Amino acid sequence: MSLAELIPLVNNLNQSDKLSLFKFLAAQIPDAELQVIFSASEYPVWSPYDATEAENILMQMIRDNQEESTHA
Amino acid sequence: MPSTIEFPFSDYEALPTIPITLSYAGFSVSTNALLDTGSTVNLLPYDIGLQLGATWEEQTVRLPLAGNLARVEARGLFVHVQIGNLEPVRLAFAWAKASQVPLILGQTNFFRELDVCFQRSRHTIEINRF
Repeated sequence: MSLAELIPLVNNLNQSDKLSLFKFLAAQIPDAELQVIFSASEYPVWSPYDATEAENILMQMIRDNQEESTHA
Repeated sequence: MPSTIEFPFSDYEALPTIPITLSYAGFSVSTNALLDTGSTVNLLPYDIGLQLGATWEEQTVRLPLAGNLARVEARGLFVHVQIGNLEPVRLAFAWAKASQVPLILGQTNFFRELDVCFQRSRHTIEINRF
């Protein structure tokens, strides 16, 4: 079967099966080649994983609020 | 009131999300939230804060975010969060002035208030209110 014949079949798969197929294909490709494929794009990472100053301020906000509740 | 609840976590879901209901100032919003153990803070998108009736100008605690959120202004906001039929929990959010960000439940203070167990093999996320 050629790629041209395969693509319409893939298009008809549901999202879950497409993800499974993607995982299967990714496992067939060497890591170095995968890195070349994905390094061509930028992907936003929204997780504020190192926002320690914001964390400290939020913790102070929580402590201040707890003290206010205690004294109320 | 139960202290533990389980949510489905199938093989096909890349990221762990759970349905929650946010309450603030008499308004409620039901939405999905990302459980993000790598996030230092809870993050609330701007539009959801507005739907809850919060007023940006009234929030005086300014929070400097990091990474690609560094340019996004954020302010502290307390919101009540209902998860299933657990007792509601009051969480402190970094309310970001951007609506394209996900609603994130992070270390401060979601993971300080609840234990979470990610069980891929059982296809479940277990949340325990302690």
